[in-house]
Amino acid sequence: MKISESENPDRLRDKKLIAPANFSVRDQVSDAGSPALEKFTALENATVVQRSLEAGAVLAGRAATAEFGFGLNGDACLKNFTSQAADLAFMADLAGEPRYAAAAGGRFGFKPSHGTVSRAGLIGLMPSLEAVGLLGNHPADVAAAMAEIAGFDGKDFSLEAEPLAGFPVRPPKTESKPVLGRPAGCEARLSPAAREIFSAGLKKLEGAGFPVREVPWPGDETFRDLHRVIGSVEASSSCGKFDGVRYGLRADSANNWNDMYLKTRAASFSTFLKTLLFQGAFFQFESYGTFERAARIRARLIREIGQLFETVDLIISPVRPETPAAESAREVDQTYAAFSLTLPANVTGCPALAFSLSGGREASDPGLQVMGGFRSDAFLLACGKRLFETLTGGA
Amino acid sequence: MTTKYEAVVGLEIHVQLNAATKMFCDCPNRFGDEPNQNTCPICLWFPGASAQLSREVVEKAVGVAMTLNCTINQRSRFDQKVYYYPDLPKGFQLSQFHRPLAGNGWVEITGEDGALRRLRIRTLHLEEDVAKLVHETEGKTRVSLVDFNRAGCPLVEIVTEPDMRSPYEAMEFVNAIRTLVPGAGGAECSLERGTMRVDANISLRPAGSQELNVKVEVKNMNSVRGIGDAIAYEIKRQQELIQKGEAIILHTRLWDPKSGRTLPMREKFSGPCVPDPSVPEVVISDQWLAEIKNGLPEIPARKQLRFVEEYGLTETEAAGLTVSPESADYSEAVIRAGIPARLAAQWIAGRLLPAAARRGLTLAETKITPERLAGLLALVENGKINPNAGRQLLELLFEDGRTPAEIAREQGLDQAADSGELEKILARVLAENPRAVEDFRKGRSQSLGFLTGQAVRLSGGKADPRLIRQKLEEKLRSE
Ligand SMILES: [Zn+2]
Repeated sequence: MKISESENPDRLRDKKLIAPANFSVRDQVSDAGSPALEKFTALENATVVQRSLEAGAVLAGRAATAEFGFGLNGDACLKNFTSQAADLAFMADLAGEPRYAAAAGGRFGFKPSHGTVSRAGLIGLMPSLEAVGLLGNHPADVAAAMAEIAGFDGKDFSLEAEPLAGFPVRPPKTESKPVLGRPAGCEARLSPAAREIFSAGLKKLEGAGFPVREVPWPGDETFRDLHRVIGSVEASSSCGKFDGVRYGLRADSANNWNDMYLKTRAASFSTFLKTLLFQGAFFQFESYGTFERAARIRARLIREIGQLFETVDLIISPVRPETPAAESAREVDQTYAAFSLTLPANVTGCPALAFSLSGGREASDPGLQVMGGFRSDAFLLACGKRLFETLTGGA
Repeated sequence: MTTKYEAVVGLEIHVQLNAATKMFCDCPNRFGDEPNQNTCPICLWFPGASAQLSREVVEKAVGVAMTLNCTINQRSRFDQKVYYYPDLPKGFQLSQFHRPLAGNGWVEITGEDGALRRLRIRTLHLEEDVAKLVHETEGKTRVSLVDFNRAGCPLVEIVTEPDMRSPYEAMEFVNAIRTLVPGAGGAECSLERGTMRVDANISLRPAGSQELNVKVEVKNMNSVRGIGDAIAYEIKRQQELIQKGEAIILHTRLWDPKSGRTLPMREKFSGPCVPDPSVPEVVISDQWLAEIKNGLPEIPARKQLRFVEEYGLTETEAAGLTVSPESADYSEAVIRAGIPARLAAQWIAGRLLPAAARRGLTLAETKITPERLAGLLALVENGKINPNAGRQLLELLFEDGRTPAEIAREQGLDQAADSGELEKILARVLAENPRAVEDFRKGRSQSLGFLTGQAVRLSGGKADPRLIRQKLEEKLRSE
């Protein structure tokens, strides 16, 4: 064994990495799946890309994304991950995208706590909800990547100042099993077949000695509405910079700047995204009180979920409800329906991981999501590894 | 019966901070460069770039807030002022609305009746500047060009309470800001150069009532005089509307200094203020706050006190020297050169500053360095020239770059050079006034004053009365 390897067991030597089009890669087109950024070439690497390359990872390819990474319609990350036999992929997690993709495709998906991984170079949409997510084959790869990419970055002042404790992730010293909280009613949106797979998974965990407890849970609708109000307002603001003045698409045949502005913005966004932007603008201009209320309720929910983690170690739930698949969602409503089980982690800023219960073999597999307390990322990944191995045999 | 109306005026003042960089990036905070020279992915809001708030900007803004007696909010946040206009690179302007940096400040002015008036500041907050739009024509096509050099430059906005009742009070408030804020070292505050912009909100109400009526905002005043004139015009315009029974409508007007009128302007669509999710909360620890406080240059009031204690000046004298940081520094340099503080105070506040003001010059723009004034005052102090000659010499120093002693000698202001003539004058006075001489010898000392006066008159006012008196007394006693 090389000395360097024994000293740096967690580094990303020769790991094949996919960086989708919403992660800036220097001198390469990074259009974030948006007509607004057609042919837009990034000036520098996103911090997470740069850090991975410095830790020995190899950029195996790029991947198309949904418009600004919201949803999975148009996303080719999972496909390229498989075709490139990649080890890791970055995926922006706005509502649960990498977790959903992992559960559907037999991979391991992770969303870190908000403010722990630099978003510099991520072409984002909803700053307070989104995080740099990861897709991997195995929890160990994701944990190793987190050890490299998390932490202070002078280019992203929104990061928490305190370093994230617990990295590199080590196996727990004790044999005691984490207590799993199961939100009441979390299986309600599953098909009978999916419910069966999920219940079997739970039984297996209980059989292996993981205590499972039901915990009270705010309705899915609450999280969804909060995400929708806050996310649409943030999206509306974020997209304000796409005006055709400095870069990206500019409509020609405009008579004056105002005309140019309107024509450029009309051509820059899909109908799907425009729906969201109009909603955001509505809350900004016409119903600001709704936004304020949403922000207040969100703060209360964050407190309540924080208190929940005083009674259980982790919160488990399915990942994919019985709706049309996220990949085929053509309307904002459908996208929200598809991500109804994953977006609580975005609203609360908590870390969450997800994987398939059937190794991606069962189409009706709803997957398992495990959410940890805020900034308990290392603990969550350590437990995630144990749960993953228990349920999948480590495959 | 006619109702008497009073004006209610509040000001919104944007002051450009003189920090080295822009507010959220490392681009220089500098003007007059080639268009779009001072830009980067952050201030052009390239996708993936995020704001990096400058520590220096926060410190300068806190310094300004402290100078204006504001309470510092140790936790403040940025909001997005959402509007779509090409001078904004991202569709919103980062400003502080819901949780500003500071507030509850005040400034004291002398009212028209001579009494002190305390005018309150509601909030003081950070705000980034916007880009500059240039509209041109290329051939027959009209083109709009954007210069982003100014985009993201650091501003503080000072919002007053509607405490002012006249154009005079608004002008005095602006004057106070122009004196106090540069004194704190955080900003230049030049209306003429655009480093300070003042908008006024004006409404009328029946005198004595407490109501706040529909206000009209007036912009584009680029001098203190202009601020006064614009407010006066707007008050008159509103009075006339009320007399005609017409309603005042909330809108913005542009001051046109050429025609001396305000004209309605088309407004930028102004939207809501949404908390910004990306720029972190600005947290100012107790320790940081103390550091900023210690690092501040002396505020004028404290400086004035120090001048009283250290140099033994009266409060009036000290106030005269500390009207601006420039005059205070100048005075200290003159005093350090060995000139008694009181003499320096009399000459700087009483003669030099008015003489410079008559010429429309700041002290730094005149030829009269502290060293040259000290040279002049040394001549006066040592009796080489009398105060009258000193005044003439001061005027000459504005034009002539030679040393005060050289000029005095050449212009015959130097009384030492004329000692022969002085002797003649004294001899003539003594010869022509035997009665007065006799009186002095009998012990009536007031006749010495009479003789001195005669000698001064004969010298054409050039001779120093003190010196003459001294010499006359010597002669009378020795004979
Ligand atoms: Zn810049």
